[in-house]
Amino acid sequence: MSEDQNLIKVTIDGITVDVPEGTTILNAARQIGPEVAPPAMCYYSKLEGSGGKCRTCLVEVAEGSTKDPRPMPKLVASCRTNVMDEWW
Amino acid sequence: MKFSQEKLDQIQDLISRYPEGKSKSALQPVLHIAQEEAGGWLSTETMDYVASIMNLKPIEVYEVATFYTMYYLKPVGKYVFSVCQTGPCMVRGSEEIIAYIQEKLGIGVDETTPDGLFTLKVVECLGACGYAPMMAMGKFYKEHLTKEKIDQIVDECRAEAALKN
Amino acid sequence: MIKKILLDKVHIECIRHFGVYRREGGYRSVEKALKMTPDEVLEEVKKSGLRGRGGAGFPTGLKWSFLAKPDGVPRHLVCNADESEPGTFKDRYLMEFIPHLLIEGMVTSSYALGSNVSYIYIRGEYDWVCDILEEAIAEAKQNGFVGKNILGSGFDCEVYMHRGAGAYICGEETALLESLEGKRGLPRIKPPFPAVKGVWDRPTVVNNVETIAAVVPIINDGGDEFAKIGVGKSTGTKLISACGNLNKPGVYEIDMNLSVEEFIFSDEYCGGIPNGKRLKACIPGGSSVPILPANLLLKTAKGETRLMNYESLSDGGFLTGSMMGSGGFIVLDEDQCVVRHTLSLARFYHHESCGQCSPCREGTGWLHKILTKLETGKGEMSDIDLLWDVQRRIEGNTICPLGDAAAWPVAAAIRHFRDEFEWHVTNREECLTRNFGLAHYADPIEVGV
Repeated sequence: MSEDQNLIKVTIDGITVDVPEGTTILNAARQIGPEVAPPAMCYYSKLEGSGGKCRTCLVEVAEGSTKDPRPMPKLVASCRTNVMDEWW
Repeated sequence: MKFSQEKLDQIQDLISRYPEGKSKSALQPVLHIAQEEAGGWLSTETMDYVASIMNLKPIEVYEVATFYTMYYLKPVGKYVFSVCQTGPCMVRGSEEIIAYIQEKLGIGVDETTPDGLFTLKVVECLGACGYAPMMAMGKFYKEHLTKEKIDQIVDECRAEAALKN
Repeated sequence: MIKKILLDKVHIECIRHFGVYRREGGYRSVEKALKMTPDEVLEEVKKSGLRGRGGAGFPTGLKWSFLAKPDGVPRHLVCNADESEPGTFKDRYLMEFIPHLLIEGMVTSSYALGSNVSYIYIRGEYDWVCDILEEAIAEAKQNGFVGKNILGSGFDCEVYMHRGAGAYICGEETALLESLEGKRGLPRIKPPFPAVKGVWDRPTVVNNVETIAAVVPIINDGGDEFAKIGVGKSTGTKLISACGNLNKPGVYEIDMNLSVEEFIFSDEYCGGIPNGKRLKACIPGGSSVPILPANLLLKTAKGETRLMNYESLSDGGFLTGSMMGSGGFIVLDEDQCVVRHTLSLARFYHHESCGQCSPCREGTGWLHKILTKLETGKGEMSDIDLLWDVQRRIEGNTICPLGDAAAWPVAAAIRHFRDEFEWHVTNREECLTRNFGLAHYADPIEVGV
């Protein structure tokens, strides 16, 4: 299976978008546009391991996935949380 | 500054407790040893030396030494009184104890007596709330403090220091 | 008299030494566990219903079952002995007086988890306790209960001490793992969880001292026996460290069916409040859980007797209840000022915030500043609402639970003791010399509210 086949459907503020697996919530929102993208400060895409500290980009995840069994809704740092998280 | 062979062996033993290639983990215990050996506090030279024997960059040692409250970055007296001031101790009168030590030794918080014997530090919870008010001194805790007990501890320390001189 | 299973042998002379501990039936759980499979040991722990004793009360068996087991990657058990929640000193008591119980629990638990090298992360200030444990490990090693090929079973387990250097935040499990790696104790962003990527990126389980010690009676007597003690989902016994204005502060092992009233006032436990003073308030589970006024402490909002267990203490949620937390029981008598006490806790959290993420770093500082203003008689009425606003912006928005821990005590103090805060504003001179007193905080509550 090649990478680009692994597209995931996410809905942000009522707008649905397809993004590759491993995309963060922040980047998915940025794909939709500035009207839904949360503000962010400490995250800078070129710096490895950046983000997650300033908590400016917190978003509420309304519904979890089977791969992330944590109870939702929950506030998460969108710059460090992948959509349909598989880290667990 | 240089560690004795005995201390170097002790450090090797500490490093061997962690997996191969993870010797950085031993930094905290090694800094405890370094502080003890270097007169109770960590100077930049001491930290650089620790970095050199552990194959770390100096900054890796500085960042750890500045994060934890038990590493002193300024010279301290021979006996450091770390008096707890958090809630449960406060309820049992730690503020009076701190004031009394200040008065008795003629020093403020974070200051050292001119004879270099005592330093007073005010710290947050030391985990002896049921035996409050209390303070840490060297390896041990001094608990259920009263003014009389402070007098006694100060006298004992002075006597011990006089004996060693 | 309740059945003690952790501290039952603590008063035996020289129990600190291996010979005596062994003669009194010590290390039986290791012998028994090694004849079982690791999964059977895990099953017993699950059956016992044991819940983490560090504060969150997460079921231990479930936590263990989350541990990832990839091939060829070593796993580790780390014991969290960085006991630094104000009001809590139970682990120190256990480690100081019956150190082999912890070592025995470490070996048994390591076997269940498949950890060949396990660490005990002890707070730096417990220097002499660290020495006691080092000695206990050496003794156990000499007698073949720690080290290579334990009792000829082929299972290797080394137990090492790691002494921290004074940081409350290292009691948070991911900060503890960072610290164990020789770094600053900054909590990690989760996921990944330690069960998947813990210390040195290896699967790791972090458990409290009391939790690991409780594994010993669970294996000795079976999980079902353990589950019979206590009530409901609060199984087993719990160590409570009582402090503050009490006649007999100290560490008590209790059955979780005990009422709060009996715990405070009976001679078997804390023996009441000194000098005939009256009870004003209590923080029942370590400084970060909500404070309760006397009337809500002894009875729940429904008028039921409050018991010393996870469910009963949290009955009513944060509105009228609190939490079991780590078992640090702080009692305040009528002479104590809640504003001052809250200030001392806010100062503690300000000092101990690691500074990594903004809500906690900035928020704890503001809580400290505003409370100082109120306590020194310089406050305005609007400061009380500001305080409420600030704590609300910390809670739930931080990387680790320290943010919540700093916000909860302030929130609860305002919720239940708002009169006292307002009195500090309306009586600026008086509040410097006199306390608000008991006021109505011990008045009986209306049942059914």
